[in-house]
Amino acid sequence: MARLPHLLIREKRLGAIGAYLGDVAPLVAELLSGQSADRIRTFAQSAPDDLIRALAVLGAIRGTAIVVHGARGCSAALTRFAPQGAWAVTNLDQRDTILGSETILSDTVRALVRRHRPWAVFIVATPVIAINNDDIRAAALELSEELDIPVIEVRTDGFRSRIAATGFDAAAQAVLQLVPPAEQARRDDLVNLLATQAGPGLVALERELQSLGLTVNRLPHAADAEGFRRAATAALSVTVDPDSTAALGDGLAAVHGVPLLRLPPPVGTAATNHFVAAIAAATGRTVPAGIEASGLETLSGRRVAVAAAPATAFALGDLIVELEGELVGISVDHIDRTHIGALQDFAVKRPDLPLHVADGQPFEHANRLRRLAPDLFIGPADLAALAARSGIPALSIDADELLGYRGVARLARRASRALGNTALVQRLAGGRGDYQPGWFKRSPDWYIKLEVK
Amino acid sequence: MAIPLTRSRSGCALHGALFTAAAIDGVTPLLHSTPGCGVQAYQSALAGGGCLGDDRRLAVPSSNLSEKHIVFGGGSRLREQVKNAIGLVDGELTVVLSGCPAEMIGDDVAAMVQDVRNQGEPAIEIATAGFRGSAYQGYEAFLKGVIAQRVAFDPAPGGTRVSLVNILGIVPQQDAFWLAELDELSRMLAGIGLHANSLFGPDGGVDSLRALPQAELSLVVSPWGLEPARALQSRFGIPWLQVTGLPVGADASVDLLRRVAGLISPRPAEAESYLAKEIRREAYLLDAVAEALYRRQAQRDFAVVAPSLHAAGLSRFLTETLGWTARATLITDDPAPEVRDALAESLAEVQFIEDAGGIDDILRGSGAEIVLGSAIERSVADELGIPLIEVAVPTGKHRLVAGLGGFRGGLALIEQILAIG
Repeated sequence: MARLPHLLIREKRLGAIGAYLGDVAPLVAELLSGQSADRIRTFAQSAPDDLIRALAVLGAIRGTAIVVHGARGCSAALTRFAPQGAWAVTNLDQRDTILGSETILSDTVRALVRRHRPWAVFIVATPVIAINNDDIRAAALELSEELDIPVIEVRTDGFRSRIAATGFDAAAQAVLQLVPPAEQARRDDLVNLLATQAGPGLVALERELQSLGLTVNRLPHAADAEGFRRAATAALSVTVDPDSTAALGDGLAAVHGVPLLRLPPPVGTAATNHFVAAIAAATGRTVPAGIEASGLETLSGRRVAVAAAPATAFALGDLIVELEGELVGISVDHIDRTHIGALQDFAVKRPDLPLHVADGQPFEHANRLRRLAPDLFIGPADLAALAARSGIPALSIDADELLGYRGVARLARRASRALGNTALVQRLAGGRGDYQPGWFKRSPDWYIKLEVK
Repeated sequence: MAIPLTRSRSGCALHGALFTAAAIDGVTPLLHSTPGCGVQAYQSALAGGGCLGDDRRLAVPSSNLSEKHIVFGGGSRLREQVKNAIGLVDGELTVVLSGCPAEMIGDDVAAMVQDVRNQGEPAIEIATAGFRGSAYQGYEAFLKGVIAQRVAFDPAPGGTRVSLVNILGIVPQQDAFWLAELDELSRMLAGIGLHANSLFGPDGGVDSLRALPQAELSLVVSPWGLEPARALQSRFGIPWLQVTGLPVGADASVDLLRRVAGLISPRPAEAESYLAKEIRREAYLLDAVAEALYRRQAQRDFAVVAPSLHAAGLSRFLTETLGWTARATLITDDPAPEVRDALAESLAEVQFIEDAGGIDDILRGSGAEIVLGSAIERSVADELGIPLIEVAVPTGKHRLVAGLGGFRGGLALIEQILAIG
């Protein structure tokens, strides 16, 4: 097996930034320069890392097994991502961290394979392993030959990158090894739909594509061995969330020649029309007329703040406008060179609106939301709860739930509910605060500093 | 040497210490580790601790060590983080919890935290690297660490508070329905005229922590409370009573309360009338649901898969109150060998096992007609075509009012049995 290329962290590969609050224009200039400044937080709260992102992706693949090589806590997220899955943790103790643990790793893989008969095994590295330098790659190679299934190293470590999305890239590098070269001619009716999350939004999108006469091969979420086997024969790949799956799409293009169709996420009616039409055109189908949204409850006159992964957040910002709302705040978990186009568009449309970049860090959100005082906050459940405790009507919506035509109606309906009855918000507001009053007199980016080299 | 685990149902020592610290209002846990440690704990809490999958208490200050710190040391980063946390987070006691990377690279956390204390700020440090064990051991380490350090009890505690009973052994988030269990145990103690010092939740807080040395008695309801209780006895002379898990139902609850009352002097006068009332209540309700139980196979062969806090009590209630037959009582939290005999006493078919694969195998061969376990047992229960009642972590069930322990717990379990048909 050829040696894998070194996994570049997002900071090096794409100039990614994980801490920022300010105008978009200088950020665009910085990203364009190729020299992103290193920003750090001198106070921080725990934040997702590459390991967690990789586990979320790998835990959703069908029929494979995962061995987390490390202390038991490094597998804890799998109790949520894959409670019934085939996974194990080597459960290293202090002695193992000193004397090494390759034998334990091999024994754990063998036992898991005996029990579950997976078609592939991922060995996920953790901080302990990265520090004590256990040779996972050698173990994986030996086990692949011995067990006659792919046993694949996942190059996570929990500390090299401050951008958790690096874990999507580590997962992409691993799952790409499950895609064999195409044995048949390329199928012009087969599309790899790249997604790490699936729910009603993605299912509805798949139906839209099927209605064009296309066969959808969803990767990697809920994909099985057959899905990976046929991936190299697809006419193209398309991603609904480039932040999590563009690396996989790029890999399929580079290794197997399957072109990646780069499109903004299909969030909102116009973006969904564009998404479907672009795929139809790229696969030689008749481009459908698209639909026009009607009868939706609007956000007219409402000031809205949003927080999401970057590509979704920018799309959500446009959707707020589509629903006649006013976007007054936007937070993303990171930003990198792939977002330059969206940032430039954003800067033109909203030159006075600053961008907040933070993964986790609810203390910054609490401060910022108090200053913005929006009529409505839209974001993940933890931040929605935080907003509600601050007295701000909030709704929680997954990225998946925003997808496609029905995502618009879903958002409009939930927004209407959140704004129509604020009883829970009123009940939650005014409880014990988590932060000292002085924090709210400081700028939300008080603890973001340029790192001294 | 490591013992690998399939589908581990407990996080690491850092997680247990974090869960414990975060459940005490006024304590600021501060992780000295890589960024993901707190989020792994958060995700496992979301997977189900039976209540409070808590975004807020687990969004903890963390030094978020990066590669530079791993290479050159994270001491200065910790100093910066502690300083800023004290200025920003609203708390009374900062507890620095070290994770695997910090301990492996040899950061001198103790010296750093001593510097903070020297400035008059209440702060302590506890070594909680994940490789030190499970979340249960993290709970144990946290409480032992707090009890051992003077600053946690500054100002010095006053004299003994009559009727105050420390409750030890219920691990926040890691033990299912932990807050409801504390509530019920507190209610039961109040019923016989005593006051529970439960540490956690709305009735707990830093003041409860500082009151630990003032209790008349420590009540230890799982093996994980034993070391903290010993530490309280050794340092402050507080006697302790250890029981083999939470009582479930009236018989076991009455037995426990009588033992507790017997150790408090003077013995509370109202105890017996309260106990009689609770016994009557369970008898009345059992009588009321008798027909419903008989319509649903009144007696079944069962398997329990749960940690020490719940396993014995559930197994006893099902056998001694409902007349069921235990096919397997699997205790999943890997308690120390010296407490295992006591935990297994008078129970049938007891095994101590943590590995999900091994548990599945035992259940397949057990002949059980119903499983009381965690969501992890869902797949084997479905495979066997038998119902599962979720009584352990991870669980999607949220119980804010009644857990499984005490008078209400027995009745809550009957409700669940009736619900499965």
